[in-house]
Formats: sequence, structure tokens, C-alpha cells
Amino acid sequence: MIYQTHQFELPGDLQVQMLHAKRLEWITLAYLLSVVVVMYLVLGSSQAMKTAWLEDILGMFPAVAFLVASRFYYRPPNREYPYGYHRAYGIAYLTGAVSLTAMGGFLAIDSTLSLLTGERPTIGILFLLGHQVWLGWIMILALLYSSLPAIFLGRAKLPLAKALHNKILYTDAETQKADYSTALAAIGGVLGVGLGFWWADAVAAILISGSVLKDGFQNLRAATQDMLDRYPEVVGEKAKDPLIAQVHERVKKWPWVAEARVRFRENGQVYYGEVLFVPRDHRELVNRIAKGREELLAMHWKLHDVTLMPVQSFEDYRDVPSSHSEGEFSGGGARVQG
Amino acid sequence: MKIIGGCTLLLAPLLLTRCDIPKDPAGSLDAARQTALQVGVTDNSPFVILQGDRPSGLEVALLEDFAVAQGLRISYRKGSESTLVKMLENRLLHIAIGGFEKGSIWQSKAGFSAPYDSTHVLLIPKGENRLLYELEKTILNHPR
Repeated sequence: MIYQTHQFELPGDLQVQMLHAKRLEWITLAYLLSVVVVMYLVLGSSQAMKTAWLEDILGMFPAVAFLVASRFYYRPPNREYPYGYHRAYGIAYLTGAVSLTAMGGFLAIDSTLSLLTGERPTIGILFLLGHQVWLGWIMILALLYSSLPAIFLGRAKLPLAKALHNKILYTDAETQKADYSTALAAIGGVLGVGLGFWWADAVAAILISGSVLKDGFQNLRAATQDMLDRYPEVVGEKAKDPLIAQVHERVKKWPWVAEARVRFRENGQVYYGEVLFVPRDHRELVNRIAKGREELLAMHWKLHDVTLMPVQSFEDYRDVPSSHSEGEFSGGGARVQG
Repeated sequence: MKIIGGCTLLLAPLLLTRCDIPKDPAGSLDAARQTALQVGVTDNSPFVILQGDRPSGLEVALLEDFAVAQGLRISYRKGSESTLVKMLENRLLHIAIGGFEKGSIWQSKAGFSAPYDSTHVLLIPKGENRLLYELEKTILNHPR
């Protein structure tokens, strides 16, 4: 018989935030689709516009990934998937990061070639309400449309991502918040072309692809670290989640525990982990473990599943010195000193 | 990125007060005003007909409209499509005509105007956006 974890449910207030986040992501998706259409209509032969356009297309990925993954993550665990579906987020995140990096690389090469071969963007005119308008001005309007609403969407999603401990939502919000720099670079490129500096276009495109590549690498690193079960971190901060140390402290305080070590990993929004301990008092051990487990799970909604295991000693569970020693928590687990 | 953005913002008011955007990176239109509009023609009836002493045809008429509107003198040079495109690439011509179609293989080597009917375009050196601006003004106002 397979041991299945219990079905996951967000606490009440967070369920509201989750709904809000989903709604915002649907709005994001609709908005980005309209941006992609508008940008496509005014692309012309500008390399900077093409790069910004492809970035906008890629920008839809986190929203799509979040919406897809949020249809899966809370599914009840079953015999096939005894840990549940929380990793759906990690998978979506990694896929997005890989495509972002690949596209960034492609765009960087494409834009550099465009500069090296002296590709001169030819930008014509458009009749708008009976007036003749240089298409460059329309491009600039499209770029503003592609960036200003995005800033507000990004800002609205950021606090939700932190509360929900959702990295894909966080990445999405962060990238959107910073999207204006892409638009400004592209606007600079188009204006430069207007002033007769043909190379401004390719230079802007290189800058934009650089930022795509940077985003890609950052996400790729975060997604990979996540998949490698790194010590859980607070979303949006380069800091270890203090919750793990708190669990350790709690276990150490139990009078029937002599010594303990803990280890947790992130599965999407939640943590799975083990607590190993040397019992001081062997009486009622099974009952105490059951109670202790309940107590730990009640500490925070993120602590989704924990296994408590009594051991004779930690002889066989030695901490291997890690490549970067980080004090008490080296090697990914906390341990009692002495 | 932020630095570039900041510079753009600072430059924007300055730029908006200037009406001569877009400019020609290689100064084609100015050159055409000083000497003559260098037009490459290739025989392709009814767009360009190279019989008699002066070229004639639909596109020649269109171009003469443009020259009149801009007060330009036209100097014609004959050549095959590929020669004309090569000359545009080397900026020896300002415009090439001869029934070129949009989406043709020359797109990577020459700048295309907006089509004056629904398929046919005039060719310019890539990136000469002022020339294109004035040319398209004529093209799009031209009775079809």
C-alpha cells in the first residue's frame, strides 16, 4: 500500500489571494495578447521592435504556466502520485526559464548580426485619421502601451506571490515590473533611427536581448536550485526561510527529545521534510511522535508533510562538510550543537 | 538599461520639438535636392516602359509626380533588377523602379515603399527614412 500525503488546501485568506492572483494572471494574459497584436501591426523592419515583440510573446509564458499549474497543484494525491502535484509549479517554472534563455541567446545573436552587417531599418509612414504619420511614432505609442500597464500589473502581483510562496508568480511580477526598461530601450532605438542613427536600432535590440538573457539565466538558476531541493528560501529574498530553524527549535524543546536534525525541501508552494531525533525518553514514543507531527504541521501552512523518525544516534547521519559552509545549517539540515 | 531609459526621457522633449524626424542616415533626399534624383529603371511594361528617349509607364508617372512635388530633377539610369538593387545597396541610386513586388527576394537588400496598388512597390536604399517619408506621401495620395 502506498502512503499518500493528505490533500493540500490553502488557508482561507490565502485562497482569496490565490483567486485574486489567478484573476490578475488572466488579465495579464489578455493584455499581453493585445500587446502582441498591436506590436505585430507596427513591427516594420526595426530589429529593436522585433526583439521587444518576441520578448512580449515570451512574457506570456509565466502567466500561462502559472494558470496551468494552478489547475494541477491542489489535486489530491493518489497511488500514482503519492506526493501530490505540487511540483507542477517547478516544472512550469523550469520550462519557462529554458525557453527564455534560449530565446535570449537567439535574440542576442540575431541583433549582433544585424549591427555587424549594418542592417538599416526602413520605417515608412501611416495614414491616421487623414494625417500622415511616421510609423516610428506609432511604434513608440505601441511600446508605451506594452510597458506602462505592465508596471501596475507587476506591482499588484508581487505581494500575492510573496504571500502564496509562489516563485513563478513572483518571477512574472518582477519581470513585468521591470518591463519598462525594455520599452524605453526600444523607444530609444526608434528615436535614434528617426534622427538618422541607423545603428541605434540594433544597439537597442542588443540591450533588450541582453535583458532577456539575464532574466532567462536568473530564472534557470532559481528553477534548477528548486528542483535540486535546495534549502527553502523566502520568495523574493535571498534568505533562508526561518521557518525551518523554527521547526528545529520547536523539536529541541520537546522534553522527550535529546537531539534533533531537520531537513525540508520545497515542492511548489509547500514544504516536505524529515525530522530525525534521538529520544531522551522512550515511553509513549508512538503517541508523542503523532502529537509532535500534528504540532509541527500546525505551525505554518507551508509545512505540508513531515516525517518524524527516532534514531539511536546521529553516527550514520553525519553532516558532510558542504562546499560553502553556512554555519549551523550546512549541508541543508539543521543540527544541535553539542 | 536604466541609464539608457533615463537618457531617452531627457532627450524626449528636445526631440519632440524637431519636426525633421525621420532623417536619412545617408542623406539621400538632400543629395537629390542638390543634384538630381538618381532613379534606376528596368524595363517591365506597364510599370516601366523603356522605349523612345524618356522612360514612361505607371511607375514613371508616379515618380514624376513625386519629383514635381519635391521640386527634384530626375536622372534615369537603366539596368537589370539585380544591378539596380546592387546600386541601391552601394547608395548610387535613390530609387529603383520596374514593377517590383512586395515580399520579393530583394527585401533583404533594399528598402521597400508601401505598395501603391496592392502589390507593387518602389525600392530605396535601406534605412533612408526621410526619402521614404516623402515618397510614400506621394504614393499614398496618388490616384490609383
